[in-house]
Amino acid sequence: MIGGKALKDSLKRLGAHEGVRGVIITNMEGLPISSNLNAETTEVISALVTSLVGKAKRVVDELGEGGMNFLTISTPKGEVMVAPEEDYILIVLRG
Amino acid sequence: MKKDTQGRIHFKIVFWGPSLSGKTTALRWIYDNVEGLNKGGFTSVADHTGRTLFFDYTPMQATAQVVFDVYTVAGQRRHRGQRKVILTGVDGIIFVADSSPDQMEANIESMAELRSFVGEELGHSISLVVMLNKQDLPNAMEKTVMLAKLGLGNAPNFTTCALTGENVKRTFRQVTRDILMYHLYPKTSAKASAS
Amino acid sequence: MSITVRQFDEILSDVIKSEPGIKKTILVDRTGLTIAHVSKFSYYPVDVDGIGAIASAVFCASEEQGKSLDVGDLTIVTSEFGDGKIFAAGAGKGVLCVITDKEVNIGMIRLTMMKAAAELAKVLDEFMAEKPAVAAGKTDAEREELRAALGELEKG
Repeated sequence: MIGGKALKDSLKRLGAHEGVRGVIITNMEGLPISSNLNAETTEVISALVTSLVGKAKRVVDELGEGGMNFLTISTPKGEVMVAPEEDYILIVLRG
Repeated sequence: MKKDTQGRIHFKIVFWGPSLSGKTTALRWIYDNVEGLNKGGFTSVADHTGRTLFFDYTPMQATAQVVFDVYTVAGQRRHRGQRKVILTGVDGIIFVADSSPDQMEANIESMAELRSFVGEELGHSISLVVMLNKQDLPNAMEKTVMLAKLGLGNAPNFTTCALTGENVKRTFRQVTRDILMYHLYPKTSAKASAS
Repeated sequence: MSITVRQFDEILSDVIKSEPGIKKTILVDRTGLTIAHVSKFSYYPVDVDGIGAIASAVFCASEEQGKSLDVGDLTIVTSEFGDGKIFAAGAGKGVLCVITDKEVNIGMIRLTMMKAAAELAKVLDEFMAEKPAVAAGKTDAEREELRAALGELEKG
């Protein structure tokens, strides 16, 4: 697990990138750990993306792809980028 | 009175009274001994010694269409908040008074709390039957004295022993009958004066 | 079955289907009476009335606690166990109770429950208006049922 300070720093760094609309870190139960968006949006995104990650993991398992490293969803607004780690999921909204 | 989604009519009965006055014992006796009622499970939120921490609950079905949901409350003083919750939507109360002289203050306090929660409805839209429990004790207080001290001179009452079940069934039958009579003939059947 | 009753079952079924790991949903009113319940598997041996009574009482007790601490309205009570979780959310005049496996997306369950609770609150209002609790408004059929119960009790 990453410590509080390191976590804040990396969130800040990510958030400072051009075009980044939001950065969220959520645990595997869909409960947000850290975010630079408002509480309500954070809750919704965390829950939905965690649910999607669960489904996506099942897909790659079925396909025998050997695990999932990263997930990108292209949208008219830009991108939703999802990095699933062991204990948490990093979500970045960009564009 | 409530109707569930299957159209069955539900009435809620609560055993009320001070700590260790015999509420759970009385309900348990009914659950184990009274025949003719179709009983569901017996749910109990109690500590490891069996003292009620929150409530006991068991549904008892009189006919296919009429169910009595019977609860007890936790009697200890600190469980006031829990008692208030259990009292929500009550149709009939069995007040279990402890006949030991040293428990009379606790009886009075418990009755005062009940009145503060249900107010004027007690003995009217909420039926009330008094169980003067532990009358088998050698130093048990006299019935009329107890009723007078509780301000319950006109309420239907029974001297009971919850341990042996003496008069417990009669008490229960009285409260169920009073509830049904009130709902069949709401204007004429207000009996017990609880003021 | 009336329309409102079917609506309860539909909403409760939708909750079960919304996320993996949900085993049972129960709608109970604030007096502890179980109004409707749906299980994921047809054989799930629990005493629904007892579970419902506790769910309602626990939620209402937490609410009382919240009142004395002045911390605003209660939305959800979560109970976490070694092998599962129980959630209870306020739904107007009722409480929506959801029983799940241990590993579940809590965030998603929270969202689903809050949405369902809002719908259930509305249907519950209709349902309770349909079944008035006042003594005066009884139908002949209801009177007949009460008389039958009275007769049954006299027998015992």
